[in-house]
Amino acid sequence: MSTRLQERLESTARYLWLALLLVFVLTPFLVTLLASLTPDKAIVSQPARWFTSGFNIDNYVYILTGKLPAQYEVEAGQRTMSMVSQEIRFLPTAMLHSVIVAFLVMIFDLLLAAPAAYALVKMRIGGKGIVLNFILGTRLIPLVAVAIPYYELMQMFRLTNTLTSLVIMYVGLTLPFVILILCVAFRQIDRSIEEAAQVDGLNPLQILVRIVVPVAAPSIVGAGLFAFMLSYCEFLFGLLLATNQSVRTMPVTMASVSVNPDVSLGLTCAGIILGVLPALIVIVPVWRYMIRGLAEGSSK
Amino acid sequence: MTVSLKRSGDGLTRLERARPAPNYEARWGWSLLLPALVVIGALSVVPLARAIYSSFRQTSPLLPPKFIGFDNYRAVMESGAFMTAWRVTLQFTTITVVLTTVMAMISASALNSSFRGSSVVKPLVLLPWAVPGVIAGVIWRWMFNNNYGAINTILHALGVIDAYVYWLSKPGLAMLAACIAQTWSLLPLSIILILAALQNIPEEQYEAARLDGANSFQLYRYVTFPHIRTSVVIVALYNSLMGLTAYDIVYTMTAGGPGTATSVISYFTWSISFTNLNIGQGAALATIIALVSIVFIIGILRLLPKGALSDVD
Repeated sequence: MSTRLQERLESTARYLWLALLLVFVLTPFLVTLLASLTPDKAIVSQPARWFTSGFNIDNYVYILTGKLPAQYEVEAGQRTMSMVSQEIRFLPTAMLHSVIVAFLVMIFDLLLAAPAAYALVKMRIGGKGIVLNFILGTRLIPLVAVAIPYYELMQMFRLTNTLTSLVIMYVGLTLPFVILILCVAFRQIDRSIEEAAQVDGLNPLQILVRIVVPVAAPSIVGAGLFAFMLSYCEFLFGLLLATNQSVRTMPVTMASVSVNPDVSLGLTCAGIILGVLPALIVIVPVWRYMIRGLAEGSSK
Repeated sequence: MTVSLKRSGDGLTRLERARPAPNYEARWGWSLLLPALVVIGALSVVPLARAIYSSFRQTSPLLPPKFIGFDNYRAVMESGAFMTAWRVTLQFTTITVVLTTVMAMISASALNSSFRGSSVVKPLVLLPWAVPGVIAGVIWRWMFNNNYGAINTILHALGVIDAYVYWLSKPGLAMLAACIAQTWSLLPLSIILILAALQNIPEEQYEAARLDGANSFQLYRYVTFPHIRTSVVIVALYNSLMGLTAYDIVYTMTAGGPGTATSVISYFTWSISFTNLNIGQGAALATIIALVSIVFIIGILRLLPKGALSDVD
């Protein structure tokens, strides 16, 4: 009797906490979406008229096509509307830069990490504990500590203001994580499969490509998308190494837009929603493949 | 999240004889490992060494470069902003680590069982993870805006406040707001890591404890917690590092203000290096941050149960 009461109490507490958690997590997204769809005047007035002023997708249309939102044309007399946020029109290009960089980082990461993880997990080589600790330890160096030397190095190779410099940087930043995830994934592969392949005379590289990679494909995809997400979201080095409009990434563009007084709140919010979309799309596969792999791997 | 490279005691099977010579394996092993190792080494050891090197040199744009010993360190530590920035950073880090870790532990427990809608709730909780810190800063700046922010609007509409609160103009409130934004940003990964550990606890252990008459608190204390302890420490460690090196959120949300209320140490380093163009002092400061982080890491790692990470051979 009392245990049933306790169970009911516990489940009520659980739902109550989850409701609060969802409010905390989702409110910023919802109000940003709201501000992107509502006329600015209704949002910035006091008290705000959130739901009574109608909705439109003018902000999104402007970012994607350059067609001025109706509300700006009406007010064009008061503000120099040619200035109105030209900057945010670069967002689609900036997103393209970010996606290209993140995609290349993902490819290079996997090409480097899969052999490394395979060697660390499946092969008898001396000192691999030290190697693994070194690989993971490099990620404990605070980024600000190496930001300036990175800049100097890139300057030395004349790579500042290129997407190449970002790809190189982000591979260095994300590779340790990808190796770690693949180590956990490869550990779960049964040794007997590879041993059969060895008997058939395949060399380690052939075993990796023909047997290990297909078996661990979900984890590899998950790890790759994780690297994609980290690279897509990176800001500090984007700001440092690629300041030119022609190579700016999405986070750098949005940071710049957000301090530009000519960009309205609605446009900024529409830019945020568009900008985070690619990362939001990959988050569910990352969670499915990578996190579950980690959960299963760490139990063994 | 421990990695073990050890084969779990399967002994050497008769196939062992079919395995190639260790020499052959070592050669292949190192050649597979080397490309990644070279890339990681070149992109971490080289810049770090370079940072430490320039921290001992005079690198102002106006004066000729030369070796000046610890002068950069002295100059940085003697500036008034140094101690303020550390105080702010430690405050920020402590609040966000405690808030995030506690919330993640509660949330992971609440999410750890299939209830109605759990397959919808879990991905939703992950969403902030995909938002870059700078954008989280922009979103929360609009949430906390003094004049038309969403939080003011909602609280006013609900009748909680009569007049709008000037969140980002009061030092204490601005700090609180920045901590909330950082927590929002770090919470998803923290929940995931603890949840992964929770899902590995064998159900039999709970049943055994229940048979012994353990209550809910005792179940958590003696069955759940020992299993998630490693993950909790890793979460605390990760969040501390993120706090000590926080930059993005502060950059767009408060720009270090009002005054210096949210000027964290990374922000200070950035302005010395790139606004004042004193790369030597910036490097000295960065080296100090690295040292403090290492002390923090060692301190937190001591909380780990013995052997939690040592199965990496």
